[in-house]
Amino acid sequence: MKILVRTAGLLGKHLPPGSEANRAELEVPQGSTPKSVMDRLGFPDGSYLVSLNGKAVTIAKRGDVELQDGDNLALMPPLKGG
Amino acid sequence: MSYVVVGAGPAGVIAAETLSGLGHGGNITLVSGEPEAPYSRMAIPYLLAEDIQEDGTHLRHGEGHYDKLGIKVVHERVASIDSKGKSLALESGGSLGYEKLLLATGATPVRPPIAGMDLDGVKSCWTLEDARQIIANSKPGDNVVLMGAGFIGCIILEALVARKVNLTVIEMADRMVARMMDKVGGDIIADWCEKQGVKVMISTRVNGVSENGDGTYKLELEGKDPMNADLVVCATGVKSNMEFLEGSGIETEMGVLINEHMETNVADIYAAGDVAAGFDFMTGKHDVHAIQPTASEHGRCAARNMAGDTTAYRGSLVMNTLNTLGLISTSYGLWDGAEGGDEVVSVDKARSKYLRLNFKDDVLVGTLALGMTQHVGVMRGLIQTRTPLGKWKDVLMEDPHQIMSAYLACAQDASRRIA
Repeated sequence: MKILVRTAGLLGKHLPPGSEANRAELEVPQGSTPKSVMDRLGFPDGSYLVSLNGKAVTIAKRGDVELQDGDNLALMPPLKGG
Repeated sequence: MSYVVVGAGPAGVIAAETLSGLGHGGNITLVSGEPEAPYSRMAIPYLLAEDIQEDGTHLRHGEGHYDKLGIKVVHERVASIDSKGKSLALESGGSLGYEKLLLATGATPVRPPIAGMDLDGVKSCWTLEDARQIIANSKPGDNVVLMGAGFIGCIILEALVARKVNLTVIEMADRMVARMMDKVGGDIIADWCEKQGVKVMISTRVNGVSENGDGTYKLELEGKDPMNADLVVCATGVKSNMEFLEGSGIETEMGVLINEHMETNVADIYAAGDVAAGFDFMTGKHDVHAIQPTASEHGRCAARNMAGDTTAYRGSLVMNTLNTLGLISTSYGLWDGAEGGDEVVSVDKARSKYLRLNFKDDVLVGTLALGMTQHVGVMRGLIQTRTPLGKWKDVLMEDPHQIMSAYLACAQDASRRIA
């Protein structure tokens, strides 16, 4: 199945070569989770914010939530306000 | 050349990295006043909400980041500056010489001068250590009182709600986020919070906090019944860290006064970020803009000037974006209007939407937007390019929601030029 992974700013460097600046469509196996995708792309868990289809996924849930075909996963640096 | 940067927040870290990147050589020392790796206070709410772990707050990741750039990070606090001898006295007893010095010491929370502000159960939310304390002392269902519904208070508010505490917010002013929102907008935010189970008390003064003896605390409120809490979080404002400048001859007001080259009045000493009162883009006057974009711009510009690449700064634009339990608000520039200017508002309280545009002649000078995110970049673009809107100003005075059309008609070329 395919998911869309979006990043922000300089984090685009973690996406596979040839990706657009900050987005990539990824083929992932059934049963994938935000955590497994982060591991594959080299995002240290706990250092970045994760949102799935626009909703925040806390650290505790990142290994449990099963991704579905067409999901939109965003990985962002934690900056608030300002 | 020996560069010393005091303060390891965004302004200091970016300045040190810029000095390294310019490749002019020299020794770069970054002095951090806290025992942690350089981190971002703006990530702390996510730590409280358990969206990230502690290392997620670190400004830079990767082993040896600072070493690789030739930046020596030392954990010391500066006691005073000898600007004639070009040396810093450290609280630990040692000293540190410099040829070019950047003050990026940021700010510290201030608490109101009332009884009980030093009790164990009263915490600020400013440092990583504060965050650890709040995490250790707040569990779901606890009664938590947040004193201060300013910008920082509202950011913490969301993190406390995520921790599932019973939250009451007490604000002395007549509205929430008084420094970035007018009464109409502040009331919409308060209604929004109330609907999500947060009790909001505006125009309310806390006269003192005391211990009940059972581990809980009592807040005395002026003209209202007292209130009990398991934890009090204080977010009643910050002040620039300037005490150590006494006797240095450096001129200060609300912050350290700097010119367009980030220089203080004392040779070879610069300032950046929350400690600095630099030029405001809109007014041209000195002001402290305690926001990340200003900190990064200041840091970068100061480093260039320290390294001899003379660069003038055009001034920082006041801007704030706030997410209060899902309601997004933004403010730019002279959001409360310009003298002799015009304003137009569009309010939809039921849908928590609000838009206010402020003009001086036919130029947009400030905006407020609540519950809408789609065109806020355009508002900023129009303000920063000082684009004359001509007849489009009349269109906007009739319907401020035509802002994108006005931008497309007037400002796109101007924005491209500065991009």
